[in-house]
Formats: sequence, structure tokens, C-alpha cells
Amino acid sequence: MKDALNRHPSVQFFRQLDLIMVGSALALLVIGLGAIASTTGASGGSTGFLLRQVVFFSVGAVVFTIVASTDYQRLRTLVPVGIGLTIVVLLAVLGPFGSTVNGTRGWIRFGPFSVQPAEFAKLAVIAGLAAALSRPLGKRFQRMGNPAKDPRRIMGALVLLGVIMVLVLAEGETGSVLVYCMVAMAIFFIAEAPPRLLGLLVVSGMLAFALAFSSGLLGDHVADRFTSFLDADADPRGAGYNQIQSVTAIGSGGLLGQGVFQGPQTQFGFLPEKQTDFIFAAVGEETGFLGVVVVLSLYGLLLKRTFLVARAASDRFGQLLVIGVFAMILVQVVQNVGMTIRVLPITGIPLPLVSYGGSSLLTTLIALGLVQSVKAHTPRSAPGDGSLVPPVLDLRQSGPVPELEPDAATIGPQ
Amino acid sequence: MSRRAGRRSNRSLFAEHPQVFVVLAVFFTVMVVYMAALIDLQAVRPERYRDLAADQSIASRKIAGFRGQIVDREGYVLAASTPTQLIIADPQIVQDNDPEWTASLLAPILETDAALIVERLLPASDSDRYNEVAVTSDQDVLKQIRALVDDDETTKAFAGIVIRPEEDRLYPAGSLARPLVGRVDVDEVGRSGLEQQFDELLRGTAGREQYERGVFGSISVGQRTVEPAAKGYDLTLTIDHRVQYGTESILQDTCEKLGAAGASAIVANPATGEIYAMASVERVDQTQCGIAPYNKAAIDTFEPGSVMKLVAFAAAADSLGYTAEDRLLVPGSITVADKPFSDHPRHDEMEMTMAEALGQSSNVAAITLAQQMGSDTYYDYARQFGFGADTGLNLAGESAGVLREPSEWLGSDAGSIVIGQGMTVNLMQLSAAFNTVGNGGLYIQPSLVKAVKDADGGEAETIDSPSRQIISREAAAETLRMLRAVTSEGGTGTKASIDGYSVAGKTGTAWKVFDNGSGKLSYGTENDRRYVTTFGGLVPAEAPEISVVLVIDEPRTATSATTAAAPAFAEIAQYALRVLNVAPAGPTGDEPVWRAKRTLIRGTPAEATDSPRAGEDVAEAESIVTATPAEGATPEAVEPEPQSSVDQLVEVAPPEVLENGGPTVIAVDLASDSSGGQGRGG
Repeated sequence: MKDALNRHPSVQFFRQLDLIMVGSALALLVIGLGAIASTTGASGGSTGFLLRQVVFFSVGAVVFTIVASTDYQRLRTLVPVGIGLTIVVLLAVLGPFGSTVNGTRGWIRFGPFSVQPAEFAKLAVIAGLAAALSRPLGKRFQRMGNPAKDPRRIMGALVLLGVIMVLVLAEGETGSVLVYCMVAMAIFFIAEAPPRLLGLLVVSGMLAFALAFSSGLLGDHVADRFTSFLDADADPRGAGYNQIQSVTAIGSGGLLGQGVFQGPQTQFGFLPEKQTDFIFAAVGEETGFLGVVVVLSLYGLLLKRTFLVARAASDRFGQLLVIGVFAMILVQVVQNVGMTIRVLPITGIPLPLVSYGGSSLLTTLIALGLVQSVKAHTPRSAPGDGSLVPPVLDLRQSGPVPELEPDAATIGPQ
Repeated sequence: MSRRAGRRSNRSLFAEHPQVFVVLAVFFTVMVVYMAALIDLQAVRPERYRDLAADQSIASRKIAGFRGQIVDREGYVLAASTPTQLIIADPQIVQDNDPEWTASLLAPILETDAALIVERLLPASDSDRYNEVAVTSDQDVLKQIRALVDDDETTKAFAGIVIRPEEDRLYPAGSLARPLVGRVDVDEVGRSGLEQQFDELLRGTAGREQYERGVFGSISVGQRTVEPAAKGYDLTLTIDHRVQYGTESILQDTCEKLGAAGASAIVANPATGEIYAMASVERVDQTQCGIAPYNKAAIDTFEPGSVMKLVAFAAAADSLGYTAEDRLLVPGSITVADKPFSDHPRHDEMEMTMAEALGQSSNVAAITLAQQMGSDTYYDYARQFGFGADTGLNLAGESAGVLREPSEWLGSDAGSIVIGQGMTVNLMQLSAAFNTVGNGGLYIQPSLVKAVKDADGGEAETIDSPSRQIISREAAAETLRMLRAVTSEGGTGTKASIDGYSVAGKTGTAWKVFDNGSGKLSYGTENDRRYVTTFGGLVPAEAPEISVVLVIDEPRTATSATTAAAPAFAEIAQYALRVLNVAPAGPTGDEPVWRAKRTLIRGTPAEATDSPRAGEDVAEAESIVTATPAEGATPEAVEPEPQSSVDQLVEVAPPEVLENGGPTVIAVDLASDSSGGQGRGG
């Protein structure tokens, strides 16, 4: 009886759930809900944003469970379909279905909700590159060399990346494109692409950006954001306004904050995009340094657990998937927090799990579902017996690494 | 076992990818940078950002603290404040919306043409950020506008429009007493007159309401702190608006009639020093005079001329004990430091009583009296009368005038100062001097403020008017009698007499110092002389209840006090007597005593001590005191002898003689060449 119960899929699912990762993600989500409540005036009775975010979260929880309990190797077969769908939707956004929000034409409206395909395209980039740069399953691929060193596969990965980037750039979503680039770099890096290729990609990426920037292809607002980042006080009511207000909000939070629902910057509309891109500034103002450290620590915990899954992954595809997700969350957190504290220029990148927005939340939860799937489907058997252990990984025996030891509670012996 | 496997795969990643350490190093660098930035923002100097945030999120609204009222002695309001609301537009913001819409909403409420409002909503220039659209004290108008602002439908039309509470200073009496009351600036701060002088008392303490506001204006949920406003004190003046009004209009007429540059007058109560009226008018154009823009009566100083002789005669009555009937032998002229002074009209050496000397405004007599008492004594009296010093009223811009000490007198100053040239006074000093004579020799500091009351009507500050006895009651009475000669037949101020009342007064005509185009200040020449005419007087002369002093600046159609100032005095005094309900003090029309006892006798100082006793012929009995100073001697040098002689004379004068009308005669025989003398006094 007990064995049967233990073998039940749902029990298996919960046993294998990385509770620390899920717990920190949940904590961030709850903080996010609190911040959205505060920034959108939920205490004053305007609960629209809060309710919608709860709906997104509920949908996301279901999708997370489905993805997490599905073997990522099986999902691999869906990658081409996903990429195709993504490209079609991105094209559709540029066509008659798109609608423009804040100067970017990256939205498709479905009744009261609007979807931002560029967010979901992050998943397509991660999955597409991970699939392209890892060996497929199956005996016939066993003797295959590292695909990351195969020029044709590299070209395929770059073309995929390029197409998505061009489409999303055309929508005006420069921020997302930045995330794609960083995610791609991480995946190429972990996939052991030739260092020269990586160098070439970095240099050409920078050149492309410089060219696009100087030719005005990126649009005036990008140029404004850069110049205002360098000298925000030059135009405090114009281009520099957002960052000045953001820094003022965070700074006035002090050590313990102005109190939830009580930050004047947040409550009185001085802080721009307060429930989305600048929600971190709202958290900083209302909960102070303490709250900010808690939020950043939760991201640290989440990323650490994700990284551990990547390290433990038994095959290259799973490892690259998780690294892609890791990079995606890391880049977004670094960029979003960086712009609110005026360490980086402004880009329209939301803070994962905390910012209001269904597309971003769903994308992050699906990504975390993928991580959980990789973790749940990584065999815990000793090496030698595992057919799934990828040959590219040299599993050299060595002493334990205590500081990186996985949590016993979640990966205990069965 | 599975844990070991996990570990092994953990290890493998790093073994296989030493670059991961690079990634981690970058990651930690980012962490350090971010933490440093956050610590800098939130832990090191959070106040600076709190201040920044507060600057933009905390607004404060002034709650007007009402300025106190200024009322006259009857409670008639001269200045009061009323709450108003100023509707201001920031045209740079309004023009981005729909000014026509805004105007169409405001027009019916403000009851004006929408096109006019649109005009005020649009910027005059790119930098134009402040347009006053309307001022209203109508609370209904405000309520209607507020309702539109609060309405979600119309609130957008009011972006960039602010309603600011203000207070408006009203002067319900119009120009009445305005130079005295003064004015406030746009911030309700007193800038002139009593408004300035009593600004601290009048000014209410403005309250403040601090509230948090968002980008779109006030947010009701924000914190609010309210410091309540406090009303300022009310001033009750000694002014009587009716007397003030009469004085102003008479002055205005006089100024116009005489073609004068300006005129001021003060009507006061000699017994209390309270000022009933303080008026200043000024020429506005060829034909008209209007209320002056400032309180000339306190601020302008002028050379008073003969009206200043009051001091010499009063001092002589006090220090030398001279009476109105005491006779003086007045030479045709007197020379002081090579400068001859003579009378106007000129006469040979003649005898006149003190009263006659003052009545005819004898320069020689006045200077002689001053010489007899000595310059220092004279100066002390002048200072005691308040000349050369602030009156203590502390009126804004008040000027003390100039009265130099005898040690600083130059040339003929010892003569000219006595007859009111070479020194300056303001009208209030003259008023106080006349009040002193009318008040039995007790100088009372003039006062304008009767009471300072708080909002509940309680006395907030007591006004005290210091007083000092300057001359004896007897001396004051004698001086009053002498002053009556001025308005009596043969006097210089007969036109100042008022039917039914006896008037004690003094005329004054002085040359005015001006620049006749030569670039230097001078008295001008015979052809372009400019005059300042004054008159000061007390009514009724027997027991004065009002004093009136006035000065007419540069009268043209009549240039002497006799013809210019005296009639104006009569008009003002008559008006004030009627308004203040002052009854004539005694039988009128009777001949003043001093005239009936007039005698002409000559004698020497030596004979004076042997003067006949009572019962002897008055003409023979009286002796004449002759003062004979050496030519060119300083006035001080000649003092002792005549002084002592006079004292002896007065002492020995038998009461019987005085009683039966035998006055003491003091002959003044100054052995000086007075032929070319030209007095400047009137």
C-alpha cells in the first residue's frame, strides 16, 4: 500500500519538488503581489491589477505543475513546434493583430488580457538553443561529437536567434532582445562552443548595437535612455525623469522603508511604471534596505538552486535548458534592479515574478517548471549504470564539495 | 549512493568548465556593485532622497492669517482684510489640454466671456507660467469650481489651474487718511504708513496646511498637518474720520486755490496729544491737488519761519517771567554776526508789548529775547518742545528735522534759528509744541493709536504717551495770551479768526531752499522766491480743546502765511470745532487785556531799581531796561546783564502796578547798525 502510494505520480512529483526553489519563487510572488497591491492602490479599493495578477499566478501554477511533471526529454520533441509557433505569433504581432503599448508594438489583445509574445519567445530561444547545441537522445546519436562545435548546428542556432531577435526588435522590444543575447551567450558558453566563436559573438553583438544605435534604428527613446543614464539631470522632467524618481524612491526608503502603502513616491504617482518595470523602486521605498536585501536574497536562493540543478543535470540538453533559465532570470534581475538604482540605463525589462504582467509571470513559471522537470528527471543512480549520463560530461570521482551540496531534504536517498 | 552521484556531477561541471568561475566572479562583482549602490542610496544618506521626495510630494498651502483692522476712534473702518481666492493658471500646462473647454466651464461661474478667459489661459510667451485668471471672494463661485475639479468628467480641464487662498486688503474709506494708514504689498506686508509701522501687530500669523500631493494634485488620503492661522491685532486710531475728511478736503481746496505744491495739516487734542486728523495733499496736475502718496505731515521737514517764534516767547515767559503785557523797546534792526535782522514791515525803534511783538511777528524782538535768555537756554527750550528729535510716534519714514546745538551754530544762526530759518521741523513737532502751550506747559507725546486690541476685543498693548512739564502753567497761559494777539487786529493772522471763538495762533512764512537751475540749493532771488507758509493755532484760546497746525508748500497766488495759511487754519479749525462739538469757551469779541494797558515809556536799567511804587503815574513809574551789548559780541556774551536787570525789574515790580494795569516795560536798545537789515522771517 505504502509503496503504491509512494509510487503515485503526484507523490513522486512533490517528493522531487525543489522546495527551496519553489519556496523562494513563491515568496517573491507574494512580495510581488504585495507590491502590486501597494502600487496600484489596492488599499484604496482599486484591486483590478492585484486580481489579474492572482489570475495569472493561478494559471501559471497549473502550467508550472504540468511542465514540471513532464519529462523534459519528451518536451524536446515539441521544440520545433514551439519555435514555429513563436515565429508565427511574432509575425502576427507585427501584422494586424498587434497593439501598441508604451511605444512598443509587442502586444496581442485577448479581451481584457493582452499577451506579450516577446516574453514567451525567451522560452523559444532557451529551448531552441539548448536543443540545437546538445545531442538528441537515442543510440544513433551516441557517437556524435559536441554539437556546439559543429558549424552547421551553430549556424542553425544563430539563425534561430537572429530571426527571433529581428522580429522582436521590429516590435521595439529592445529589452527582450538584450535578454535573448545574454541567454544565448550563457548557453553557448556552457555548451562549450569554441571560445573564438564566443568572442566573435560578443564583438559582433556590440558592433551591431553600436551601429543600430548610431543609425537611429533603435529609435529615439533608446538614445534618450542612454544619454539620460549618463546625465539624468540634463532633462529631469523628460528623459531623466524615470531614473531620478526611481533613485529618489529607493533612497528615501532608508534602512527600514517608509512603510508599506506609505511611500510618497510610490503612492502619489511620482514613480513611473511602478507596478511593472519600476516595482523594485516601490519595494525599496516602502520596505527599505531590509526589504531590498530580502528580495535580492530570494533571487540569490532561487538562482543558486537553479544553478545546482544545472550542475546535477544528467544530460547536456537539460543542463543547457536550466542554464538558459538561470541566465534569463539573472539577466532580468540584474538589468531591472540596475536601472532602478541607476547603475544601468533604462530598458523595459520586468522584474521576474515580482512585476505585474501575465506574460512575464507565465514565462518565468514555465521556465521554472522546466528547471523542476530537469531536476525531477535527473537520475539519482550511481554513475556507470546510467544510460542517460551524457558522454560529454566527464564524471570524475572526487571528494565532496560541502558548500555546494544539494539540500538533503529534497534530494534525500529514497 | 545517489547523493554521491549528484556530487560527482556537481564536480564535473567545474572540472569541465573552469570558466564557470569567471561567470561566478562576474556575478559576485555585480552583487558587490549593486549592494554598494543600494547601501549608498539607502543606508548612507537616505535623508537626501527623503528631502527630494518630500520636496515634490509635500505641498503646503497657506492659510491666510487675517491682518487686523485699522479703525478710527469711532470704529469707522479705515483698513480691513477679506479672504479671497486667486485662480491661477499655468498656461504651459493648460495649453496642452483644451483651453476652450476649460474656459467654457469657468465662464458661466465667473460670469465673464469665455473668450476673455481663454486669453488668460494661453501663455504670452514660452516662459509664461503664471497667469491670474480671476480673483474672487465669493464662496459659491469657489464651491462650483471645486465641484468641477473633483468631477472625473471635468477634472482634466483643470490641469494646471490652481486656486490659492489670499487675503485682500481693503480700504473702505478710499483715499481717506491713506497717506497715514499706508499700504501693504501683494504679500500683505505693510510697506508704508501705519501698515508698515504696526506691521508686526497687524499681521496675522499665517497658518500652514501641509499635505501630500501626487503628480495629479492633492491626494486626500495623504497626511495632513495643520497649523491654524491667527488673526492680527486691530488698531484703533485717535483719528476722527470726520475731522480727517474735512481737513483733507479743505487742504485740497486750499492747495488748488493757492496753486501750491502740497499741503499738510494736523488736528490734535492739546490735553491728550491725540491726533484727530493728519492730512497730506499734493499737486497732481496744473489744476488739481489730491491725497499725497505718503504721510508728508510726518516725513517732510521744512524751515518753519516765524511760527518758531512761539518757542522764544514761551521760553521768555517761562525763564524770564515775561507777561503778555510786558513792554519791549524794539529797535529797527538787530545784527547778529554781521547779519542784520529787521522786522516786516520795517519800523524805527519802537515800543511794543510781548503780545504785540509776537502778534506782529517781530524778528528783532524774538532774537532779542533769545539773546536775553542765552542761546543755550533757548536751545534747551527748543529741544524740550520736541524740535530736532523724533516725536516718539515712530511713524514710518518720520524725520526728526534738524536743530543743531549752539556750539555748532555758525554765523548768524543765533538769530536765524530763533525766527525759524536754518533749522527744520516736521509738522508733528509743531503740533506738539502748540499742544504744550495749550496744555498748561505740559508736553505730551503726540499719539495716533488709541488702542491695540486682539481678536476678542481685549486690550493687547497699552499705549502710553510720556509727558513732561516744559514751561510753567503761568508761562503757558501768558504765551497763549500772546498768541491771541496774532489773530487780533494788527496781528499777522487775523484771517485765522473764527466767529464765536477766540483763536491763539502763530503765522510762519519761510523762504524755501530749492535748486533754481544753478545746481546749488539756495533761497533763490526776489524773482523766483519760493515760500513755505505755516500756521499753528489753538481754539478756544481761553481753554484750548483743539490744536491745528498746517503747512502749505510753495503757494503761488498768496505767498504769506497771513494770506495763505491763516484762512485755511480758520476753515479747518471751524470744521473740527463743529464736528467735535466744541463750545466757545468764554465771552467773545471782548478786547484782549494786553491791548488796553499799552504804554510807552523809556528808562535805563539803573532807574529800574528805583522804579516808583504803586500809585505813581504809570508813565513815569516804569523804567526801561536797556541792554547794550558791544557790537559783534556773541549773544551769550550779552546775557548776564540784561538777564539780571530783568530779574530785578520783575521782582521789584509791585503787584499793585500789575493789577491796576501798569505793565513792566523792557526796553531793548541794541546799539547796532540796523539800517540794511533784512529779516527773512514773516
